[in-house]
Amino acid sequence: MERKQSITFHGMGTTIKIEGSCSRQANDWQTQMREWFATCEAICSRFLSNSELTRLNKAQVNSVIAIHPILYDVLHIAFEYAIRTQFRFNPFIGTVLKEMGYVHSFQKQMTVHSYEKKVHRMPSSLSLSFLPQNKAVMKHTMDEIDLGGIGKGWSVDQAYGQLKRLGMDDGLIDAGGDMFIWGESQKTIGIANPFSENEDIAHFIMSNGAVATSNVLYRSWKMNGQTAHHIIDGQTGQNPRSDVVQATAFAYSVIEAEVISKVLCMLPANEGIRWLNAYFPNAACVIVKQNKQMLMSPSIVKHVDKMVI
Amino acid sequence: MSTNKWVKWVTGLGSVAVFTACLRLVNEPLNDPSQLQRTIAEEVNEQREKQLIALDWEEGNWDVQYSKEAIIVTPKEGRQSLPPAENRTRRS
Repeated sequence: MERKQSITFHGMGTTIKIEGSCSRQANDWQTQMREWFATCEAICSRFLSNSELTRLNKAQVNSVIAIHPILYDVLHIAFEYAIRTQFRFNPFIGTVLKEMGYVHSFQKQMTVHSYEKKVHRMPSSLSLSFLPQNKAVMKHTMDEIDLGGIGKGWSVDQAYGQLKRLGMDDGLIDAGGDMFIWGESQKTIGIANPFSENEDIAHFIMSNGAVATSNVLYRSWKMNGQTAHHIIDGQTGQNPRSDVVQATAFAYSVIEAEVISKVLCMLPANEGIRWLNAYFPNAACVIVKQNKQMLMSPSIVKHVDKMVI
Repeated sequence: MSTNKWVKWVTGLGSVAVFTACLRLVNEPLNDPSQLQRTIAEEVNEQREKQLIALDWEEGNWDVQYSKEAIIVTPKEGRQSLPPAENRTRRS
């Protein structure tokens, strides 16, 4: 007999909700999930002074640095996506974000008073050298790494694998809006309205796949009278100039959806659709423009059973 | 008598040949699994596209335009937002 279960907890700087049905008795999956996300945060956050990522960011260049296997795996996939996106998604934007005043985790808008804009910095487009046998890396730049949402996305993808192995055949993981959905049952998912947080701009029905949304309005801050936000074009080191305010990506993994949604916020909407079709033809997107118009890729039919707007 | 015999032979062989050709025609697409998969996938996609296009968009508060590259959805005047769903994707 299938048993519906759910859990909600705080982790990775957001609220994580997991719900699903187990066909067999799963041994305390709730505790396993809490521990899993706490472990990932302790390793991958650049805001924690004792995290593995912070240790790597402080390490010297051109020396072999053994790192936790989780960080190794996340960095490896992060740089694969950096290459696939021609470094628009660039893990080396940590220093740029710091210089723009984004030095601690926050929700919604904030004002930064104590930072002055320094000389414009281009983030490095060098990769790390990976030494798989030792789970070690070698840095070639002191630019700091910020994994952005990719650490969270990777953690969700792995959590899905763990839950499937534990017998959860149907479920949903929602990590602050980054979602993985699987099983037979159809789920209704809302896309938050970027102009009015408490409303949805669209609803869609799906039963399998990953979804992630990036938005330039929500996590923004004022610095020297100018508005800055957390989306940095890895090719320029600056906030992109685009008519896109929000992009929702549909893919087969959360990490991929996360990367795609970020890059789509960097490009003009029409160009973003063409970019998606060219580089990630199996993914899909819903883009919201400044003028409130929405653009969807026709590939959305591969991911969504029904769309209500 | 002998003419009848030949007619029977020709008719018999002809029927067998036609029957074999028909069988081959019917079976050939099924023998190629990739072709079959493609056909099924195309049908599913076509069905889904029809389903998507058949959604009630035009009668809602949006104008919907379809092109090969993108589906463009423009809000009409006085459009009402949807209430928040239980599960929502939002800025991360």
